[in-house]
Amino acid sequence: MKIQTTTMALLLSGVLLVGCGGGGSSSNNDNMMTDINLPDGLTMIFFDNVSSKQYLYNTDSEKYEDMNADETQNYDMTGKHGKLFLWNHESATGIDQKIVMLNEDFDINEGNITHTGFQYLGHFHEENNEKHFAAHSPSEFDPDNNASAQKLAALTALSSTLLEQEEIKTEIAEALPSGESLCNYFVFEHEEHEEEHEGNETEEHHEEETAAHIALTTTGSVYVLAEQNGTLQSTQAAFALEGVSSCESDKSAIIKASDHGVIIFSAVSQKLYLVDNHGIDFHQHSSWDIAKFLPAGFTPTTLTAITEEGDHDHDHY
Amino acid sequence: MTTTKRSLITLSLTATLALANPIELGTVNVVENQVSNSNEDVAYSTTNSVEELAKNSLGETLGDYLSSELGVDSATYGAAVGRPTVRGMEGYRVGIAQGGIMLNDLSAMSQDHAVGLNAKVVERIELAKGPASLLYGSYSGGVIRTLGEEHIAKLPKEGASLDLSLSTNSDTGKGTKHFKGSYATKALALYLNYFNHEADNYSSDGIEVPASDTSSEQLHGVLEWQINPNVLLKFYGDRMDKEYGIPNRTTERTDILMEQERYGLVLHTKNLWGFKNIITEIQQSDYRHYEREDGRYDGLFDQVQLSLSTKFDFNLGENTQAKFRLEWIENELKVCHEHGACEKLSLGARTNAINGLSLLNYYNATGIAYSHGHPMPDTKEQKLLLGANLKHYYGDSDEFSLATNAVLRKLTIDSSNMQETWLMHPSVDSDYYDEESKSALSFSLGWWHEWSDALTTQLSISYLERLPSSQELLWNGFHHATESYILGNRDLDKEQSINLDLDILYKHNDAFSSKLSLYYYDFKNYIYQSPKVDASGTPMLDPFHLSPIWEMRGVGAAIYGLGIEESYKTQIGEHQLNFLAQLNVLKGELDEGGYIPRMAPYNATFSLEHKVGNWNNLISYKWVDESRNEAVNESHTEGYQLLNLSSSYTYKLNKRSVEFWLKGTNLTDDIAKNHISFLKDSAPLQGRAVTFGVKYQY
Repeated sequence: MKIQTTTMALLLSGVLLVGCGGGGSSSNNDNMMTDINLPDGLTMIFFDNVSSKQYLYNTDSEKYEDMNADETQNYDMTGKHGKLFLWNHESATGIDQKIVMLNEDFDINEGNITHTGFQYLGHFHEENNEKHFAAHSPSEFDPDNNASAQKLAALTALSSTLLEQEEIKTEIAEALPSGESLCNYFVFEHEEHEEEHEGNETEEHHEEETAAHIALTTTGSVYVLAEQNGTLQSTQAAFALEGVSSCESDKSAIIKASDHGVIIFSAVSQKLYLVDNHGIDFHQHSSWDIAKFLPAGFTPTTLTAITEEGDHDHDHY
Repeated sequence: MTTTKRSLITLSLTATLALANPIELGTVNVVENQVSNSNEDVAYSTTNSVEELAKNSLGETLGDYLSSELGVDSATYGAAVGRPTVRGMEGYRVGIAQGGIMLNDLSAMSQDHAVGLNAKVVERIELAKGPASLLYGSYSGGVIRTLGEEHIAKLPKEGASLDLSLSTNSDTGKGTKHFKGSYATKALALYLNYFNHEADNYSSDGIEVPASDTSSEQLHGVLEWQINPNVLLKFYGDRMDKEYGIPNRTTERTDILMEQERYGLVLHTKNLWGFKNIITEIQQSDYRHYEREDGRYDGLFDQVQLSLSTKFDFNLGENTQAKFRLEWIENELKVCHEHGACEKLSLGARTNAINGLSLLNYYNATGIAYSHGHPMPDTKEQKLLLGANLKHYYGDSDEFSLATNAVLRKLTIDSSNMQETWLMHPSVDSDYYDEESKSALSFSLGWWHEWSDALTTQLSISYLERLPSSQELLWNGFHHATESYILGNRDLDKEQSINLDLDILYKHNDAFSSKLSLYYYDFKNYIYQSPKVDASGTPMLDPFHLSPIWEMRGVGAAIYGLGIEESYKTQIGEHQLNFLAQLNVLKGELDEGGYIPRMAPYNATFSLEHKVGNWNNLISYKWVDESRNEAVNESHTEGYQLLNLSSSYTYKLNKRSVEFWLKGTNLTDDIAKNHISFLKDSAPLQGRAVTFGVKYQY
């Protein structure tokens, strides 16, 4: 509270006569910021697999949207269950970020995905500098419903990605110390940098350091691994997330926040944790209570998100 | 405040009031009211009026006001921040008190934090050292006592008085507003003091220093009641708000929002049971500051302090006087450090996870128990302090002093604020959070001797013990403002030193005097922040932010130096000229080799004051040497010169006066990097600036 906002007349009655009875911390700050300040450029989808509630949240506008509000939309999950998967679909035009709501019991190890294996397959359109989510229904991918070859090819590609992820998951799980089991994970992509050397204008391609693998274990510990001499090895001290002592894969998520950080979600603590690296080690940089920016009473079990950089043209099936 | 504490305070005050019956007064020596100019005498304590100090001050901080005193520098880096350092002593080695109660702020912990006081809202400032300082605590650099209206043992003069002043600065585009007024009858008085200081970013070498702005205001009010000729009661309230930028190297703006409230009651009793000048004070204060980066609330410090003290004089014999001071003080500090999550204090979540798991993992992997959680647990310090100072006079030419200070401290550590994964793991330090009770005992002997009308000397030798602060013991984490990782040391022992001070005053004649101040402080366990280096001597960086690690160490060290002051006055017709020259030389050495960081470089100041009629002019030139005695891995600062000029004219109209003044600082626009500042590399001192002000007095 600025003194200027009080009148001098209040001094006697307020400052002097209040006395010393008010022990403890009583300060308020009118300048307090209320911004959420989640990392910019993220559009997140939160889903509660118990209540089927589903919200979309944009970190730039800091606004949320009830995705189940319009039952005509293919992504309406009212009364349904599922699990979110971010599919970085590589195509001729680049990487297209798609969001797939898989059936909750879908397991790629039991066979490739078909139109019966998911609830919707969505992506974002940008109109008037605003992102709009749209989704295809499973029936559009039904061969018996004259699904296009492009759509069927997309499912084949999705199956390949899911299988690849299974392999990575197995590799990470095997690299963890004994006594630890993998709960969730994220792998930063290999980045190739182009370096222009002044003078001779030659270009040199080189790989950056080995990509970091972020592993969240069932005990709530975070391990950072990287490939060294052909095997995944821990690159720093493991650390825990505040308020997290256990983890289940369908009650957690790890999404990319930037090239140097991820956001980890725990349904146990109902928090998001920014784990990033702006020194040597990844660490919990910040955390946010879900209730701070999503409707009261909504307790998501999982989430996924697309990042700004992934805003490429996407294929239309 | 607990019921017990309230009862204790109420009982104490009531007893003092009840027992203080009107007594016919003899001559009473009220030391608090004396103003003794430092360059005209040698004394263990010197007092200056704030108005006088303001004339020579280059800024508005306490350090600015005192930096013209011999041996005093300011760890300033801008308009907002400037904690004084005294004879090379910084931080916890210099006590800053209001009356006798140590200021409730965190400027001692890190000098990038502003002092929780604007000099303008006090009336006088006293510098005490040696035996005189032990009444208030054991500080190698002595005690800076600020004396507000509530600490002056009399009512303001009857009727109304008013001081109004405004100033504007050419560089920062803003300035100060100051209002001081009182109204008094024979028995009652009301006193108000309001100060506001606004400054945009300042410039150095024509380049704006980002995040060097400040906005500060403080309101201080006192209600006074002369209960009877013997007893005067003063009740005060104070509110301070400050917002200032930290001109560090981060690309995002770092700033601090600071607020402080103080309430207190001072009871002045002239005589009671043979005791004289009894001052009993209760103070409750709440200090809070937020550290923000790019608007995010990344840090929060909240400190609540309650103090009850009494001080009195007693004549033990015809030639022996004693002063006693007793204080009970409780100080609770709560800390938050989490990016964007420190708008308010919170408790760390507790699950069935292993306490301190992350910290233990780091300890096992690196040998250092790194933490990225809150940098320290909440703490509560409860202290009982006893100070005594005996003076014995032999004739008119000798005065012997014997002083002692005893401190009993109970430190309670509450780790409930800490994130569970960053708790200290028992296998790293099993008794880290244990409560501890410790004591410190200090002594000082002084001998003042007048050898002749011309030569006077003052010698003191002190043995001082200082208990390490809770921050020195427990801080383990990042400090945003200074972009460093501070590694406290839970096993620090108390700091011990033997301090030798010698002051010599030689009055060549009534106009010309020379003063020499010599000091040698030998530390057994000098506690300071030192860059942590690896086995190859390379400075280490923390793994989270790649920031330098500053390790809290306690080592053998010596700080010694001298100050010389030459004062010459002359009158030529109606023109009065006062010439003053000062030289300060000091060095801080570690017993293991090398120097102590942030020691003031050699410096000299020459000033000439000219008074004629209603004009008062002052020109001063300060030379500061390059840093010569640098600590390992400490950055070098170049020497600089400051040329300052001020001029004022006063219209006197019966009981009123209007003063116009102009002050030019750093007129040569030299690039000045303050070696004793933590931010010396990123925040040079202000370049050329002109301040214009007007003051109305009634």
